[in-house]
Amino acid sequence: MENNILAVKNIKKTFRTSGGIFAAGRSIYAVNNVSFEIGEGRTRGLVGESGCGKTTVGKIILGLEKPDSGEVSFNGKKISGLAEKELRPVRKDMQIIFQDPFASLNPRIRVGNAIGEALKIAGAADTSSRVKDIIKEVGLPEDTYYRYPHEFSGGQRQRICIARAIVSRPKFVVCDEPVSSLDVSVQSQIINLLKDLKDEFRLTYLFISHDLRVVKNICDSISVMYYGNIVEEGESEDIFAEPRHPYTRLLISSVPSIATPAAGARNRAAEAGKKEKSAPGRALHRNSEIEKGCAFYSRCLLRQNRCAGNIPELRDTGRGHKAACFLQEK
Amino acid sequence: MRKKNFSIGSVVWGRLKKNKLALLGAWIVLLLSLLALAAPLLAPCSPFEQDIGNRLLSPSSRHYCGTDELGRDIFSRMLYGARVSLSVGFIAVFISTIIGILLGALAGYFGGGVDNLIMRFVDIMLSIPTLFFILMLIVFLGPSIFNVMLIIGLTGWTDLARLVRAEFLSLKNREYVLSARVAGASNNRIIFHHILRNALSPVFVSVIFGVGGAILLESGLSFLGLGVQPPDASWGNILSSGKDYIEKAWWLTVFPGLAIFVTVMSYNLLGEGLRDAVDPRLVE
Repeated sequence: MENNILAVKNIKKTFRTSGGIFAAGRSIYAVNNVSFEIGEGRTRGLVGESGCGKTTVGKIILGLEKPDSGEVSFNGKKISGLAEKELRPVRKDMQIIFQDPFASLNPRIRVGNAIGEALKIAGAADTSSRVKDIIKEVGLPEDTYYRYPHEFSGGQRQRICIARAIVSRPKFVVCDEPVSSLDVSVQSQIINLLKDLKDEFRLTYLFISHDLRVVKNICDSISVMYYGNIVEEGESEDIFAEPRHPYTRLLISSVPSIATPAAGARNRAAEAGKKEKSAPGRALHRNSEIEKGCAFYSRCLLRQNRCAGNIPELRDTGRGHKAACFLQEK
Repeated sequence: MRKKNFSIGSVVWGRLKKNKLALLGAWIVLLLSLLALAAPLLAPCSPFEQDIGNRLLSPSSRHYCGTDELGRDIFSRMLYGARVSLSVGFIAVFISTIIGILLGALAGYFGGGVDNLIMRFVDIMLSIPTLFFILMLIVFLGPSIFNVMLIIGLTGWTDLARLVRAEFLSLKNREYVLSARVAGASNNRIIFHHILRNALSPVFVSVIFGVGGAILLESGLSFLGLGVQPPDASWGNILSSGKDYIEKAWWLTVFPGLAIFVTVMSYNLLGEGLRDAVDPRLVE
């Protein structure tokens, strides 16, 4: 069996909103009891709609947010709960690529210095040759080194961010929606770059995205998140071939496709079904509802009485393909 | 894409150039600074030399701005006064800028208890009427140029601290800051290397306004006799000694008054123009 480079166990994170003078503060589950492992050299997709807690999971893994409970282990060593100082030696093995390539580069710092920062912090004396190599590696022109971020397009900036993430030769990279803000034609270039770099530098990715087409293209295995919970996980082909959870089915059926007229008709049918049965006004739950029953209850097309009062657990349905739905319990 | 490598500074300068009033302000500020620096070369007489025989002379080609009640040349005294006023302005603002940036950065970056402590202290400072607070301090420390600089500096940082805090609050969760944290950057490095550089343009604007304000405050204190002490000249104390002769010798008050007005006005025009020029929302 392969080694797990990263293990996340039962992490929970609640954000409190301060209610102001007249209202009491409310707590919102961003992440509710999430566990998964990533094998070395694999790409794990983390899929879900916006606001479901995907990004928070990524931030918790990197120590940018503290989980309320649960733990994160990297290379077999527990890293959650470490102080910033103790975390620093681990930092060089973990990196992140953000969604918005415009917000993730400091406008006042030359690209070469931005890319070389991790090396400099790690104590390297001469960073410029490594940085110039990596700039070539990600397919940017040589004079990139001396220029400022605002001189580049979105796709080029994302290449810069990728260069910055891998320059220190990390083992594990969180890709937080790395292509969502790019043009479709640029998306595939960046995805291919990420794939190439993965092979070349033996990287492991956690690929966070809401776009199933992208995820299908790059991920070995997938975890589907809904409202802070993982509702389904398994190998990529299993999930696309035979989605178990109603939410995963909804996601897959709502991928717009131009391939065949039949698919289009299927999508329209799914679309109509969604409009009919799911009540968007109920998409925002009160926490009490989530605590009592299935998080997906109010939007589920196949809900039953038991779904309202009991929480389904994530169960193996064969070959490591797990789903959290009562319909899978025969 | 193939644009020339340009800096933020040149963008700001390009915008400032189009604002005629701000440009006028900038030129006057520059001119005044040069006049103050070159005071010993330009002054026709010594600012201290008394000539009782020629007291209260009206402006003429020998005394451009007339003479005062002791026969001293007002023009020369005003040139030397410019040195005092401008240096008080700059040094006081320098002190308050350092304090304001540090405290604002700490409050905004660390938040929580540190933030609460610093901002409540700011609230206390802001709830005391500044002028009376300054007067009280000067009574304790004694009036002198040095004390005036120090006290204006120590009391003037609160607005800047709030400004810097607000900038830090909005910048500290930017993705490039998170990315630096992931790379293992220390708090120091993040505060000074990553955040502060992006917070500097509003600071710069507030510094320019601050210089004008400090000059005005110094003039006021000197007018009240609590700032620069005679025989040293400052615009405020020339004005103050001139007020007794306001019916007989208008030039004793009009010229220093005009100097204060023009200077503060120029700094404000320049500050106003800079504020527009560094505003990222105004993209041409």
